[in-house]
Amino acid sequence: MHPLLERQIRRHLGDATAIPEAMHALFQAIGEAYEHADADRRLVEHALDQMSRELTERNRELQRQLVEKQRTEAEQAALIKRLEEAHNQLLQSEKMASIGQLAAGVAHEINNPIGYVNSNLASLRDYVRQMLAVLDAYERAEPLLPDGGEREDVLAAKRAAELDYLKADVVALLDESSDGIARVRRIVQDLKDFSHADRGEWVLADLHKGLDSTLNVVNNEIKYKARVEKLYGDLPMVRCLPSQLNQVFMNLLVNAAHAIDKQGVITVRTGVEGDDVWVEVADTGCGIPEALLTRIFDPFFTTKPVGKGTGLGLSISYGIVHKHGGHIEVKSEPGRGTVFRVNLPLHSSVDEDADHE
Amino acid sequence: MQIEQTQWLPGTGWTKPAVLTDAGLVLVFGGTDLLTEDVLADLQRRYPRALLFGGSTAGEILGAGVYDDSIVATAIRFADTRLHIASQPVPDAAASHAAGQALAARLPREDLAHVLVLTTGLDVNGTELVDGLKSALPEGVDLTGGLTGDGARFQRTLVIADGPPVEHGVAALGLYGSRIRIGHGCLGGWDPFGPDRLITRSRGNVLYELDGHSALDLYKQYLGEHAAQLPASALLFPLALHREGEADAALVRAVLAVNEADQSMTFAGDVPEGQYARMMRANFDRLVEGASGAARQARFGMAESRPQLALLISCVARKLVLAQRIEEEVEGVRDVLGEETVLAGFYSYGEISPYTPTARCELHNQTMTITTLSED
Ligand SMILES: Nc1ncnc2c1ncn2[C@@H]1O[C@H](COP(=O)(O)OP(=O)(O)OP(=O)(O)O)[C@@H](O)[C@H]1O
Ligand SMILES: [Mg+2]
Repeated sequence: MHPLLERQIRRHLGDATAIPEAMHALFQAIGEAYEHADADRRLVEHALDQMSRELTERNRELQRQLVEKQRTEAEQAALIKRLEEAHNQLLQSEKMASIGQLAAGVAHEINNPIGYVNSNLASLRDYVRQMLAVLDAYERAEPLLPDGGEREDVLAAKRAAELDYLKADVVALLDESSDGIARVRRIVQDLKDFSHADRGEWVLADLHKGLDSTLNVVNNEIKYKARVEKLYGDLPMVRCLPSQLNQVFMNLLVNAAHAIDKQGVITVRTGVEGDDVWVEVADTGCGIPEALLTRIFDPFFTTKPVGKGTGLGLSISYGIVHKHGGHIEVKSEPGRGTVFRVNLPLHSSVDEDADHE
Repeated sequence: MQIEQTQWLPGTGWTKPAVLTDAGLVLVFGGTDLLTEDVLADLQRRYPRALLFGGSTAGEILGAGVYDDSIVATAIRFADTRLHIASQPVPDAAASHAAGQALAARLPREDLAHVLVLTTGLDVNGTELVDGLKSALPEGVDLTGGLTGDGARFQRTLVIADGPPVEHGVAALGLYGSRIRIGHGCLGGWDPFGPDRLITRSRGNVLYELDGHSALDLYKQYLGEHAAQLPASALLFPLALHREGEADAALVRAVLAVNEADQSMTFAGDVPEGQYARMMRANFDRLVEGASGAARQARFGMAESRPQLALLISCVARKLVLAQRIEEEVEGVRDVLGEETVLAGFYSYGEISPYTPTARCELHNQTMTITTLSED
């Protein structure tokens, strides 16, 4: 009999034996109803328990899936960023390649006329020297002419032509022209060096030569803003892609010049430290606020007006230096200036083949 | 239309003498072991002109009472309505559709007003059977009935089609004429609970996996101590099936058998892969309300005529849940239909009826399904 029913009978009737025979079936049915209700309640409680356990489990599973989804999304974002960088680098190297080709072509075309102007100038100087010697001889013979008549005519012509001045100046003019031609030749050579016919070739190169030719190429950007101080150390030859490193130097120099408002100094230092060579470009410009330091290497990050900066310079520089197994450091004091330092390993473990494709 | 009812009890025999001896039809519902050829022959002697139509049950309904281990006979003499009985063996579940078609083809079509169907409740796919029947019946002829039962044992079910009881078969009773009025209603009263589960492995009416896990294991977890009473206890948690996004149009499916060997569960109707299943549980008040609601639907379908006979086919699961309170649902039906309507019927392993008077006929589970009859 159901314990509750038993207790109820004890309390109200005193004893189960007090139940009249006729009511046994009734009490039996009541007891069964109690038991059925109990079983029912247990079933519902059990099912409820089961269900909450199951729902908790499903909830956990959903959360796990969510985390997983977020993780793959982050991975995708990183992948997209890497793709974007690769794309930008490709764009830039294409741009540089065509600029290089153009420069090499122009240099080649200019070289020819420069060559014969130069050699003509040399001949011209020789002729002029000889002609002046002849003229001197004539002048020495001048007193032999009778007074008046012809002698007067010669003196008048010499005065009119300012012959003394002319004699001095014609030589100076020729010297200046030779200088000019020499400069044009150097610029052409720099252009050739900068664009480097090496395109993509790993070679042993003199970084100082690269720095010098780059400085010449960007001279126009810099000269009204800054005095350039070169403090070169002793550098061994470095195995590198010279034209690409020149791009890095050019961007650092142009950035430095842009950072200077009126007049300043750009200092280019080089040196060796341990197994690394380093090249520093320091300026006395506006500096970079601390908060932006982490962003300047991002592609398309620029504080410059449209048309002046694309924001690609440093991200590409970063990529190039990275390819050489090196790294770029930056120190800046807002208001006082900035130092960019390019570190390159002397014995790089870079897979050079990677760049031949 | 005249009706009289009598009951056969072990040890007692028939409780009333036969008066309506020229009755044309006797509906006979009883415990599986009681429906012997002798008892049926005796019944036929009492009503020599009657067709016997019925089957084994998980409980008999007589008036507002519900009985176990008895036989209830309801004798009917129609004034004008003609009857035709047909039957068809169903050797296994795969034959269900063909059996339905063949059975319907046996019924003369002329003047056919309504078809009552009784089928053995195990080894049959009720969905397929109903589809087969519908495909071969004339347009506009409705179909009601159910799957016969075997207490809470799920071992042996029988149908009677004017002959000895048959273990694997389906029987149909055609009602012919213009004066017969029929209404029907069908309501459940179970509440879905817990998560939607995707049916990931099934074949016909055999279910293997929900959400990729054994369905049988899931049932055992939920049943706890009641797992020992499988398959009957699985009726406490029928499944509501629906297609994705159509949770409102859910069909209820009840368990008929479990198979430990291949970890499967056999349901009374299809459990198609790709649909969603949600467990349901009983709500006492809504079960009783559901029965009255079904009665209201059936009455509504009869328009002006007052039902003289109501055939109640109610799911065994309701009886397991309501237990001693089971008569409340029958009383609910009587309250709606009135004292004059004679109530007869049985507790079944599945119900066949259009869900509402205008909907398509389907196999249902866990419902109270009512067919009301009267003759003008
Ligand atoms: N030496 C510097 N002093 C101050 N700010 C600098 C300096 N170098 C770089 N920056 C800051 O970093 C930003 C990014 O530089 P970066 O070279 O990548 O792009 P950019 O110079 O703006 O454009 P681009 O080089 O593509 O023409 C600059 O816009 C500037 O704000
Ligand atoms: Mg820049």
